[in-house]
Amino acid sequence: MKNALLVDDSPTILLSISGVLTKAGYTVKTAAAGAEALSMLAAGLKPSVIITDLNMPNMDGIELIRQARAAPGCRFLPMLMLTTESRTDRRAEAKAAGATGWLVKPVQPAELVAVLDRVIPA
Amino acid sequence: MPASSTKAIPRAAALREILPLTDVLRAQLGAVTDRAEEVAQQFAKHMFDVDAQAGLLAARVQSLGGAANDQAAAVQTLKARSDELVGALEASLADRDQIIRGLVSQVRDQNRFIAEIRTIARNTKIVALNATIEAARAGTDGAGFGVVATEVRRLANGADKTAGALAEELAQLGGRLAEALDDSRGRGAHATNEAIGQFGEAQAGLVQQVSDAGGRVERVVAEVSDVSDVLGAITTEGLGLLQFQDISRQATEQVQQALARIAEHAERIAVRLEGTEEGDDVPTLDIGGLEASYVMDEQRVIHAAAVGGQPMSTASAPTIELF
Repeated sequence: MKNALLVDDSPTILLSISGVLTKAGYTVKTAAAGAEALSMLAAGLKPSVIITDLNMPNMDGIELIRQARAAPGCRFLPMLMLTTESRTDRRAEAKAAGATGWLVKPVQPAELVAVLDRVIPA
Repeated sequence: MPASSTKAIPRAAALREILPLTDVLRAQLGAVTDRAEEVAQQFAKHMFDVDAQAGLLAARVQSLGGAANDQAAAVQTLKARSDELVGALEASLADRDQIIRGLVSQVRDQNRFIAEIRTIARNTKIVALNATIEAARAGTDGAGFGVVATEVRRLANGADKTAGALAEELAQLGGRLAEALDDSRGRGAHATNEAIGQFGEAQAGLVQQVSDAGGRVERVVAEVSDVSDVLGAITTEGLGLLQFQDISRQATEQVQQALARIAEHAERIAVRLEGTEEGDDVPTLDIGGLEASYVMDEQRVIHAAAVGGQPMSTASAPTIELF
């Protein structure tokens, strides 16, 4: 069973994207902040993929990915940015921090699912 | 105090009227954003409900289709059993005909024994006649013998008569059996075959009706399943569209921040007018800083169009990029 950890400070995005992924057959866990997501990983959550927003209070998505990469079992875990941000310098930062890919909102549901199919090992 | 300075204080006060106005506008925008977020979440929940109901409807119709298939299978089983019974009935009728034919044959065989009895009776009568002649020749001594010969002849006549009656009875019995056989082959067979045919037609009609109904149910199940899939796809697209609420929220928040900048700018100008702070006579509003704070290309395009310049481009970065 594929499962995703979705991180965003927007409750609407959490509902929207978790709904799309659930209908695509994913089990979805959500976190409203980077620290909450890291706590879930520390507690033993083993997602197939992490999808995170960039601009969030206290900890942005790039820092979340940087810290999550160091968590046990997360070294090769696919981690995607899902953000309204389109600046290339921020993409470069995310890539350097260990992000697997960058998706600009709004993303088409079918495209999101197709990306997940590509990055999650069979 | 110079004239310009006497006018500066009321001008600064007038300028500060912008401050509560920007506060009101920011609050209004915040309320719109909050309301939009609330509605978006309610909308998402409605979409989930629609999707769940569509799935439930499809499952129930699928169950109905399963029941229809079970019914069709039961009718097919019933038809097979009926076919077996009709076959057994036809075999039974054929056996009955065979038995009647055997009886007719046996009855006709009885004529052979009757013929023998009549032959014996005729010979007995001849013997009795000869005995009567011999008794007459013997005179008084043969009188008793003549009585016996007369009795023998009468018995032979009786046997002959009885054999004739028996032959007639057997002939009638054989005729009736043959007639019954012909009847079972003719009218009876026709009536039986007609009844079996009507039963078969009624049964085939029933099977066809159940089959047709099953076909219609299958089509409805397929159509409902298709509609359910379409509703599921619409739900997914609808959920995807909710991302625009987050996008508009971020754009609105930046407009709120811009209003705060306008308020700060107005306050700085008011301070300059009052002469309570050293610095440039007219501080500049950093509109370039506003443009740099945008996160979406669309914001930059709108900004550039409004100020008549070129957008601060982020090149042609794809919306989806895997590293």
